[in-house]
Amino acid sequence: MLLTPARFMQDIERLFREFHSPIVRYLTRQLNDADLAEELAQETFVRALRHGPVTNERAWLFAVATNLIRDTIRRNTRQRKHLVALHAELTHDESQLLSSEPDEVSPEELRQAAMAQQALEHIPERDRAALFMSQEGLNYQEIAAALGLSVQSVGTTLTRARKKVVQSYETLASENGGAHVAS
Amino acid sequence: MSLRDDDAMNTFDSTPFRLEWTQDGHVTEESTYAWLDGALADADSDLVESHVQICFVCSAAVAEARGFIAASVRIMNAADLSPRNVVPHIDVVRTAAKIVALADQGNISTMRTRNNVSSTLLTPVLHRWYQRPAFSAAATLLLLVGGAYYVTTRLPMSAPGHISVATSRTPNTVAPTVKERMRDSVQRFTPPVSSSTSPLIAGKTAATKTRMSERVVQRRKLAVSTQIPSSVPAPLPLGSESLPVVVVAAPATASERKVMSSTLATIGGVADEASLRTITGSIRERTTSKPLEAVHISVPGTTLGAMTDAAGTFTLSNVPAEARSLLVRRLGYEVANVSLDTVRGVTASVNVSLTAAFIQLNGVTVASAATPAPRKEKQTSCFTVSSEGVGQYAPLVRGIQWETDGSGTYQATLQGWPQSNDLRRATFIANEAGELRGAVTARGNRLDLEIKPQGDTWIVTLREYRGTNVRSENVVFKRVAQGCQ
Repeated sequence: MLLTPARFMQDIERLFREFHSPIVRYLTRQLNDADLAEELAQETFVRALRHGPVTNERAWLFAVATNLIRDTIRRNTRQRKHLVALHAELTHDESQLLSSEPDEVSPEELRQAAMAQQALEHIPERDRAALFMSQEGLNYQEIAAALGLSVQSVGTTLTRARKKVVQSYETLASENGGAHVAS
Repeated sequence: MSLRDDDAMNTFDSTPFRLEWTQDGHVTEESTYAWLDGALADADSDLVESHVQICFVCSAAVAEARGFIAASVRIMNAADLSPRNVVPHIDVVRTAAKIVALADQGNISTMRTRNNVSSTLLTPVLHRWYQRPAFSAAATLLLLVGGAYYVTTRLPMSAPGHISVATSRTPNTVAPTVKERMRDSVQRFTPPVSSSTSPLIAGKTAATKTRMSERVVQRRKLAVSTQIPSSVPAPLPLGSESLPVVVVAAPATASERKVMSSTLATIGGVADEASLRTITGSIRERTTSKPLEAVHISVPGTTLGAMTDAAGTFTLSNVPAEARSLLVRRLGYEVANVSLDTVRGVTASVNVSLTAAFIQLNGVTVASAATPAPRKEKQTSCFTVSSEGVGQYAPLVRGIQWETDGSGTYQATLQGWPQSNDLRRATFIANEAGELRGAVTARGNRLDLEIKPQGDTWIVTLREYRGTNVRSENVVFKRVAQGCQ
């Protein structure tokens, strides 16, 4: 991905067009923090610009993003929370513009979202990463490269992850009684 | 396990997921998911597709896997409170320039410069975005795709009663990409919402149930008819030289046969044990009593044989006195074993009635005459077979045991597989024409079988899959006798 000045604009544009949204979504799901996700996405692409050519750009980008997540979570949890609060205060108006839907989230949806997030927390970090990557369209080989697994292990991991998350959600939903019933 | 940034460049492995089968000849769970995810090689993918079409167990497993995949996608989408998968338009050029500037600066700590970096990046962009009356084409497309995907996957939670279940897999002429297949599997299996289970999970069980009920509907309800031996004829007077002996060749139990034999009159004159004799007779069809042409009569243990003519009559010469039975066979009819124990004399005559026998869609003829009334119980019949044809596996088969519960599924256990005395079971499903398709595993390789019954033979086409190579065999199994060793 090291770019010569002549082709510079074209390639960075292509990288962005292809991979920026998936990377942001992946980071957002992992972190549950849209702004932090944007930041780490930027960092990911900054590193991409500094790096030489790779066999598979998608796998490489997701590997970098995953490593950034790990580093970030380990180092700066407290600081992050503080900054999140600060940022929310400062950019309230801007974040209103960002969302394409007004804040009409029903209590039912909130409850389901909470259960879904909890169910996702119940699976191991690597399983969750594989799941989110498959959601963003990475194939088995790319997930394998991004996470340092064999292709067969990716299959095992995804199968296990999907079953676990669905079963966890099921358990949570049944524990919360009939209140979760869809209208 | 973390991966250094550089490692992704060196360790990229492009081999596909390796398809694996269980001991019973089914697709493993991981392989099922891999197939749905489009991770199998093309040849393996086609293999699974054709197997799933004929295997109940695996098609149910596929339905369940699809349910889990779809439910996990919905869970991931539900976890997003706001539609974060709809990303606002980013001015690519400006953002790229900013990124490059940051990269040139060298050391970036995104945490410390968080407010600065994100504000400078986003604020000018927001103004532009906010000011534009219309989105750019790229952003519109992104929103549409993201929004459509979002709406589609969220729909079951907010609109109960929305049912969209794909009933069949259309054949692929172009291999779909992973994305397409995943999107396909999610959208095709948006199941109805059940009020008794959580909305996200209802999909799983409902999809499975729908799949299974479709299968039940598709199964043919087979009437089972079992053969009842007709009444035993009155004993004939002693002293006759040639006595027409009517033997009902329907599947009778051993004890019934004994009863019939004992009531048969003996023929006057005991043949010299060392001499040969001639046996004549006629063969008729049981229900119509019409003479049957081209019936083959043979003497087991010898090479003697004869065929009936247009009148249904035959002549067997030079039959040794110690010959105990005759084997009476014809395509489309039950094989008959005629005892010669009570047939004495230098010349003897035998009359045989044959019963039509073939596996057909509307009725199943089963060897064991358990009860006269048709019942959808498990019926088993076993046949000793001989095989004609060149092949590696088929000639080793010496017996086939069939089991059916009358629902259109047949379990065949093939005796004599190579290298072991294991009985390999295959599940067969009958189609409209009464042809059976099934699969079995031998030596770790997949064998697909197509069986066309024709009277007392089965024409078998066998395909063995070794990796991406396919080897075919064409064999004819002839039913030699009922019952297996």
